[in-house]
Amino acid sequence: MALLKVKKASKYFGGLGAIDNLDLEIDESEIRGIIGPNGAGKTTLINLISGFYVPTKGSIIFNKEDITDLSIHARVKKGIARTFQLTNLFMDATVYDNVFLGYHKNYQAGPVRQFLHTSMSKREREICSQWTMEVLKFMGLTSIRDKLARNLPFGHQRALGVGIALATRPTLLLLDEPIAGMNNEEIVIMTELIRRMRGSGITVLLVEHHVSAVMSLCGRITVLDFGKKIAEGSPEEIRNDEKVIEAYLGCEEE
Amino acid sequence: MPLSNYGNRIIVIIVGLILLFLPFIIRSQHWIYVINIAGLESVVVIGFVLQYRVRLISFCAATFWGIGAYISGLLSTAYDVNFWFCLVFSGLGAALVAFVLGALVIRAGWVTFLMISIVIAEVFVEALGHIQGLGGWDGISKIPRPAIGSFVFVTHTSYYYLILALIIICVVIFYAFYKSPIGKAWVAIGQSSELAASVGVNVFRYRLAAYVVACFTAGLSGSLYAHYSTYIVPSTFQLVRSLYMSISAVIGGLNFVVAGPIVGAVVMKALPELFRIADKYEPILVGAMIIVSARFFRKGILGLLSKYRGFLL
Repeated sequence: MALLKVKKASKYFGGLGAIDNLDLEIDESEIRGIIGPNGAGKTTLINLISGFYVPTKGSIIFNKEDITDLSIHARVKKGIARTFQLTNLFMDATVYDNVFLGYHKNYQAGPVRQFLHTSMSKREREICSQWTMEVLKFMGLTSIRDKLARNLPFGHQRALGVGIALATRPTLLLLDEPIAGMNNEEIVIMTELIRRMRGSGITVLLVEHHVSAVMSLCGRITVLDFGKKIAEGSPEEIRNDEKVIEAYLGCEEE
Repeated sequence: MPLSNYGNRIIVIIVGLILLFLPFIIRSQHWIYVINIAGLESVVVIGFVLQYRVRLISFCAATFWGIGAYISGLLSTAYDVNFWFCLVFSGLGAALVAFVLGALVIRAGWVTFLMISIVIAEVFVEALGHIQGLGGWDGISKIPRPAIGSFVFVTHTSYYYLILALIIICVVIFYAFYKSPIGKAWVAIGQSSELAASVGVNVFRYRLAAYVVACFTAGLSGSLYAHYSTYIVPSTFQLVRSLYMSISAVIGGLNFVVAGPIVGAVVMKALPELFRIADKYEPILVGAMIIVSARFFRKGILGLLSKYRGFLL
């Protein structure tokens, strides 16, 4: 069953087509890889799905609902979460507080109850607390929970970014190059975590440059180049696809 | 600051006692007056710091103070409205103006927001000056004193306690917000509005809410100011006053949402008095304070005294 449908979506910046007439369908519980050379439109795709960009043309359907006109926070409430290519954290807050803030969309108690600190509001904050500890444990960040995000080493910052997205309890998780800049050890840990996420029923869209990680994690891979889809299929099919090889390596020398 | 800490509790108790008996410690009526004005301003500055938290900077803090003062002054002199109702209407009036202004301008970005706030600040003073119905340049005078039953507030000391009560109420309101998910969302917006949006925070709505809350309390303070001085003129609420209030926030410490503004406002008012500076030299002193502050205590006075960042509370 298709969880997400991108229908003939285009995003133009002036005359530049960052995404051009793209059709994409993502099924529940799959891990879909999105690869392509630099500038192919991978991050633009994430921005379109998450609401940071509004498509120039086309529509986005999530869970059979047209979300094209929904704002970012409305889409988050529907169950879409994303991470950022450039580390984006609440820098002056602790690791614990960063993840705690991620739970925000899940509060049932409205602002009035929150202001009055009613017992319902307090109970929800308890739940939030517990959930935060679970996410921290899952991401392996429990031991550094009181460190300021600003002071973390790069790998932990990336992990924290993913943790914040997880804290929103998403149905669809859009990962924008989560393992960029990580060393081999960190890559192994992160790949394992992404695999386990799929086990908890989260659908993952993985934008990555690290082709071997994508090959090992993803059931299906979509390849973009210059904003267009040039190939789609299993890792095997993609590995041998001529158009893909050409896009990455250029034409064969005669 | 964590109240579970024994040391902090002692500090709070001592400060509380000092505040409770301050008028009897400082015998000078003039100084109680200075402290009172500082107290009224500090409420406005607390609002300014809230706006800063969500990355809204505006230079019309004194304008909303003035809106509150004028609503209260006009209602009580022209329509004989009881002070306590005037107080509420002042707060609501200022909040309404903030709501309309914010709804229109916040989405345009912080630069436009700041520019518009400066325009509003100037227009406010000019409009009041030119509209005779609102008192013109001579302002509104003979604003009646507040009363509870047969007790009328006349002495500086009595106003001290009224102002203290207002500050305490505002502090309670702000703490209730800051310690709730609303306050956490505000801090999140200030740290990274993109990340806040991606965890489901409606950034525009929360920013607007912060602006309205800040201006509501500024309006309350303005109302009390009008009835304290019994005489208000447009020039009191000019742009420079807003700038001074913003400076108070910085000097006190922007990381300290309540204590910072109070300390800052008191220092800004007290230092010129201490040095017995003539009015025309006051800007030089303020300029010097800014330079010293920027050079020696970037995080404000409280930032110097306490390593606690006071950030997420």
